[in-house]
This record gives sequence, structure tokens and C-alpha cells, in this order.
Amino acid sequence: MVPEILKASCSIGGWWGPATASGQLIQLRALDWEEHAPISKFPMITVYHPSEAGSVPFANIAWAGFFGSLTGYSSAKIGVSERLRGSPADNMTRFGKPWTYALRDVLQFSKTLDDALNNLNTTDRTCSVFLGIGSSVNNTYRLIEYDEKTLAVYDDTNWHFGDTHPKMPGMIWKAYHDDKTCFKNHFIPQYGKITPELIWRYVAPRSETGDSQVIVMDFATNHIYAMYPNPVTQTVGYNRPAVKIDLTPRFNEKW
Amino acid sequence: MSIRGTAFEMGEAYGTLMKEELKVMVKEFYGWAAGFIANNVTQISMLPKWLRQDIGVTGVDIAKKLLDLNYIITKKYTPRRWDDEFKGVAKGSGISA
Repeated sequence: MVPEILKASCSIGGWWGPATASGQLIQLRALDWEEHAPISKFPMITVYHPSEAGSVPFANIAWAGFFGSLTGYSSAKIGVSERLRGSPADNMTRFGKPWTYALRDVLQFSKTLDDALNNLNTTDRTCSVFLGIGSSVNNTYRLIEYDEKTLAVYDDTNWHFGDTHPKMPGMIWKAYHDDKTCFKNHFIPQYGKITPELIWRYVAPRSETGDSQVIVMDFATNHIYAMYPNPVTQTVGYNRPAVKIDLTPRFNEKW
Repeated sequence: MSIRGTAFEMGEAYGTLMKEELKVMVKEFYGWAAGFIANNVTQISMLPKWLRQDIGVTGVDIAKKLLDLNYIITKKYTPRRWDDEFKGVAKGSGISA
């Protein structure tokens, strides 16, 4: 419930097809929020295996006590992430389904990108945020302007391109430092060769984004690369080592 | 952590397994949230600085009330499985929902 009244800034993006070395989708979620908050003591990935009809197993990539989704990945190979939008204020309401719950329900009930978008479209939406939704089935990614009144969906053809984000097939992002060229300076020279390692090892730390969480989702392998801040040394997430986690065994657990 | 079952069962498993961490979270969270809310919640940031600081000092109750209020006004729009899960967490952890 907390993000409903605070909201978080961040960088989000997707790279796929001609942009990546594998041709498969890579999704970034870098959370710039409050790395010294108590919640940072307990980063946690919860893999849900719901018995409710229509559900698929999914991972909520969060912290102990954080039940909605800021970041997540499902066994149907749907990835979700969020970024602060802030406006327009007149398109926001408190009377609806908290957006972190809406995102987690996308993970639980979507098998394709269309399912995810339909899910969000029929939700009683609240805050104004950017969402990033990736799908391995469709091998593509969408950036979404989400608020009470509208659900505007963008891809690599119709995004708000500009000097810091040229229009090229297979990539779309919304960076924390949106007016700077950090992302462009990495992704243009590496176009066609983009890997998860490029993003977690170089892009996030050099762009100084992801103080509270960096998650890079590799849809080709079901691996995620996770970086969280160290509450003892107070090292920010984007300067920490990445932990590679294979989610396939977690999704396939026998009970 | 992996959990399975109905929303209530998953919540109960979550609360049981994460009981100690949740207790630390509850203990430390509201003090942090009070200060953070005073400086960051849109409506409060429009108030004069002296009043914001006062809210930051005495804001634990405000933080709790804001979250409670948000829970009440969003409940109508939120599928029941969420409430079931929270009840399960409360049962498993011994922390009231």
C-alpha cells in the first residue's frame, strides 16, 4: 500500500530483436527510491504458486512485507516494472485498485502481452505511473502511461523519441536521468550486441540508476540479475555485485 | 521463498516463514515513513516547511492513518484474494493486519 502514496522514481526499458545479441527480450528495472529505508534490510523474491483458476506461478521481486509488485517475472515469461510519472495530477485518484496490486495480478493471470494490457485496461486505475511490460511469447516490450483515465501504450515506433532516445527498432526506455545521454551512449554503440551483462555491469552504475534495486530480466534463459543496496556499508544497489538467479527451477517446483 | 495454495494459505505460509523479519519491519517502518511522507507525499509537500517538519516529528500516527485510509478507500476495488492473503499473513506471523 505504501507506493500508492509515495511512488518511486526509476529507469525502465526493454531491448529485443535486432537490438540484442540473442535476439530475445531483455528488460531492465532500476529502482531509485530510498535505499536506506528499513525495507532494504530484507530483499526477497517470493515465488507464488496460486491454486486459483487461471493463475500461473510468478515471482514477486521485492522485500519482506512488500506484497504488491514494483518488479516481477512470471512463468508465462511476462515481466513487469514501474517508473515515477508524477503528472498529470488531475488524472489520478485514490479510489481504485492500488497499482502495485494491479501489476502483481498481471503476473498472476497473464499469458501474453495482450492479456497483460487487457488486464490493465479493465482495472480501476489510481496513480499516474509509467509501466514496462515485457513478454517472451510476443518477444517484445511496451512502455505504458498509466493513470485513472488513460492507458497509453508505446512501442519502438511511437514512443516520445528525442535527442536522448533515438528511434531504432527493438528498443525503448524511460531513464531516471531522462534529459541526459547516458543510456543513449551505451545502447547506440552496442546496438545488435546488447546483453544483460552490458546493462547491469555498465549501464546502471555509469548512469547511477537503481540505488534501491537493479533487476535485469533475461527472457532467453529465465535468469534475472539482481542488485540490492547493502544496508551496513550503505553501498547503493547499482554499485553492488549482481546475483544471477535461475527462476525456471522455482517455477517448476513439485509440491 | 516459494509458497503455494489459496491466497489465505500462501499468506499464512508467508507470515509463518517471515515472522521475525516482518516484526523488524513493522517496528522500524513507521518512524522512517513519517519523515519520508512529510517530505514526499504530494499533498504534504505543498505545506509550509515548518509544518512539514512538525508532521515529520509527530508523523507516525499520520503515516498509519494515511495507510489505513488508503486501505479503506481501495478495498472496494481490490479483489478479495488480497484481503485473504493479508489475513493469512496476520495469522501466520501473529502481527495484526
